[in-house]
Order: sequence, then structure tokens, then C-alpha cells
Amino acid sequence: MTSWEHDGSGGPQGLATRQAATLKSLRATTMGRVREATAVMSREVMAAASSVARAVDGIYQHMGDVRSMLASVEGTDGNGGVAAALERHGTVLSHFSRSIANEASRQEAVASRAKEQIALIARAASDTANLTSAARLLALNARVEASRTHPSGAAFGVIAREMQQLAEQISRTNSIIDDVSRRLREDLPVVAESAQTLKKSAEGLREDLGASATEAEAQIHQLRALVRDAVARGDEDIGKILAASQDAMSHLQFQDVVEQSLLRLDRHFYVAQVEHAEETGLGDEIGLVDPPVHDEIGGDKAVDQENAGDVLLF
Amino acid sequence: MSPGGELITHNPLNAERTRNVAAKKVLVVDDSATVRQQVGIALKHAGFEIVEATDGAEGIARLDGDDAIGMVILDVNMPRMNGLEMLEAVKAGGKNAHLHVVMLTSEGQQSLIERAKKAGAKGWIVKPFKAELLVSAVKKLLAA
Repeated sequence: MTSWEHDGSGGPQGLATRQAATLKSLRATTMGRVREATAVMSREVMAAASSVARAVDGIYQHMGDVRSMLASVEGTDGNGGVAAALERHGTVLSHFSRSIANEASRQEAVASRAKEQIALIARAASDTANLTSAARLLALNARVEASRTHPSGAAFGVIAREMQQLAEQISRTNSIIDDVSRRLREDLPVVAESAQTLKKSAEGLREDLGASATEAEAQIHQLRALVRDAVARGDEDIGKILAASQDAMSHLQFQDVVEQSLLRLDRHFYVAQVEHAEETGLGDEIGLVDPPVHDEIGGDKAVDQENAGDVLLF
Repeated sequence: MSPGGELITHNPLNAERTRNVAAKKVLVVDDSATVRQQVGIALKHAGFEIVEATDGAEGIARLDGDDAIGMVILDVNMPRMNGLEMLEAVKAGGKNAHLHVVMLTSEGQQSLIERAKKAGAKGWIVKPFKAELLVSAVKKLLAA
């Protein structure tokens, strides 16, 4: 009887069985610890990735707001923008000053024509003054004839009264015309002068607006250039931030490599357990060995780092 | 990685703006939660809608239950049904056989790439992926 038959150790078979159990325990403990560590790492990696994603979302949102704001300034948002408002304002003022100048010119022309008409009226008044004198003379002649050819001179008396009344009426009318003409001669130059002053002011305003519009146009051009530059620089910065965030995300994928290595480690344990069972004749004890979570299709080859990131389209 | 397709290179400063893309639904099949999350973030920023599955079997179930899915990003090493098995099952026939499938894996073995290509995959991306390149590849395939 060999010593192991009564020392309770079970001999080689017992030793192999204990070794198999130890291997199983070692595998379970090691893989358990590694899985715990991997799970923690996985949570942290996902939290980090979420933070990066939130930051990128925030940047996108911010840049979207900035672009909208700049578009409203530039007027590319369909609402015209500040530049277009300034242009419209300038156009309205220019039209307004032009209409004032045109109206002033028209008033000036009317005053000028009125002045000519007054001169004609003055000449007509002068003619009627002569008519008054003639009528008075005729009235005097009629009275002389009336007194000389009495009694048939009664008719001359009537004519003399009529001629006298006509002369007085013409004289009163002439007086009124003189008065109106005098007032118009006094007022019309003032009207013409006012119209001329208004016209000069309007033309001056138009010139000022023209200069101002040119300057505003230059400012608007500069503003638009600044806006476009700001948007372009923002886009470039976003591109850099996006590239940096994508790079960070790419580095966070080490977690997947760790998980792949964990599967390989588990497979190594499994192979060791199977080999041990076969070498020690514990074939029937293979039931102690749990298969790996899943076979790696690529076998035991190391993770491909050389071609990492490559994209091959067929 | 050996040739046999168009290799897309990385240039972040010339990055195409990833906004304003018509929303399309992409199925991401990967047993790693972190990879699903990071693929999801990259594609969501590009305007895509994401559906997730943790292995090939769940991936096929998702495809069968959602006709709006337009493309599949597929890991290779997964429990229950690996990515190549799912690819071969999808491409074997049925209503989803026309879908574009891009493999996303840490594997770079030529034999696996050839197997995927033969099965009908449209691309192979080696992890860790660069978001910009992934998005470019997805856009290119969906536009084709």
C-alpha cells in the first residue's frame, strides 16, 4: 500500500483534481477581479465620453446661436439685417430730400411765372388809367355839350353822368389792382427766395446723404467682411474642437481593447484548464471547466494596433 | 491593412461639417457598451439615428423589427452570434440583404477581411476608429 492510499491525499488523481479545482478557482477569482475593474473602467469611460459629447453639443449649440446672430446682422437670415436697414433708411431719406428739392423748384417756377403775370397786370392797369383819363375827358366834353345845346343837350347830360361814373368805377378798380399788384410784388420775391433756400437745403441734404451713404456702404461692407470672418474663424475653431474631441473619443476606445484582452485572458485560462485535464487524465473531470464566454474569431492573435483607425471600403 | 478597397485617410482640419444631414437610422451591433456609445455619439452628431444590439442574434432581431434601418455597423467578436455569422445570415437573402454592412473590429486579419468582403460587407474599419472617418464612410455608402 502506497503512502497516499492511507494519508487521505488521494494520490496523483487527487492531486490533479485539487489542481484542477485550484485552476478553476484562480480563473474565477482573477476573471472576477478583472471584470470588476473593467466594469468600473467602462462606466468611467462612458461617463467621460458623455461629457465630451455634451461639450461638443454645447459648442455646436453656441456656434449655432452665434451664426444666427451674425446672420441677422449681416442680413443673410432673410430678414434684411442691420446693413439692409441702413440701406433702406438712406434710400428713404434720399427720396425725401429729392422730392423736397423738386417741390421747391416747382414753387420757384410758379413764383417766377406769377411775377411775369403781375407785370402784365401792371401794364393793363396803366392802360386802364389812361382809359380813366379819357373817360373823364369825354364826360367833361359831354357836360359842355349839354350846357351849350340846351334843351336837346339833356341826352349829353346823361352821357356825361354815365361817363363820369364809368371813369370813377375804372379808377376804383385800378386802385384795387394797383394795391394787389403792389402786395404781390412785395411777397413773390420772398416766396421765390424761400423756395430757392429750401431747394438749396434739400440739395445740400442730398449731397450730405450721398457722402454719408458712401461712408455707410463702406462701413456695411466692412461689417459684412467682419461677420464672414468671424463665422469662418468660428467654423475653423469648431473644426479643431471637433477634431480634438474625436481624438479624445478615439483614445477612450482603449476600453474595447481591454475587454478584448479580458476575453483572451479567459481563453488562456480555459486552454490551461483543458490541457491540465488532458495531461493528468482528468478527462472526465472536464465538466469542471466552463467554456469561454465566446470564441474569438481572430484566434489568439494580438489586437491589431498597426492598422488601428483604418477604413477600407470595398 | 492590405489593399483591395478604397482607403480613407484622416485629416481633421479639413473635416466636413457633420451637421445638416438627413436623418437615417443606423444599427450598431457590438458587445462593448463603450463602442456602441462612441459610435452612437459620432453618428448622432452627424444627424443619424441609432439603434443598438449587443450581438449578432439581437442584431438580426432588430433588423427584422425595424424597416427604417438603412445601414449596419457590425463588430466581429461577439457572444452568441459573431459579426461574420450575422453578416452571412443577413446577406443570405430576405428583406435586409440589400443593406450596407460595415465591419468595425479590432481584428485586421486578411482572411477575415476577405471573408467579410465575400459575404457582401461594404467596408472594414479597424478599432479604435476615428469618428470623422467612420462618419465619412457611412455617408458615402448611404449616398451611393
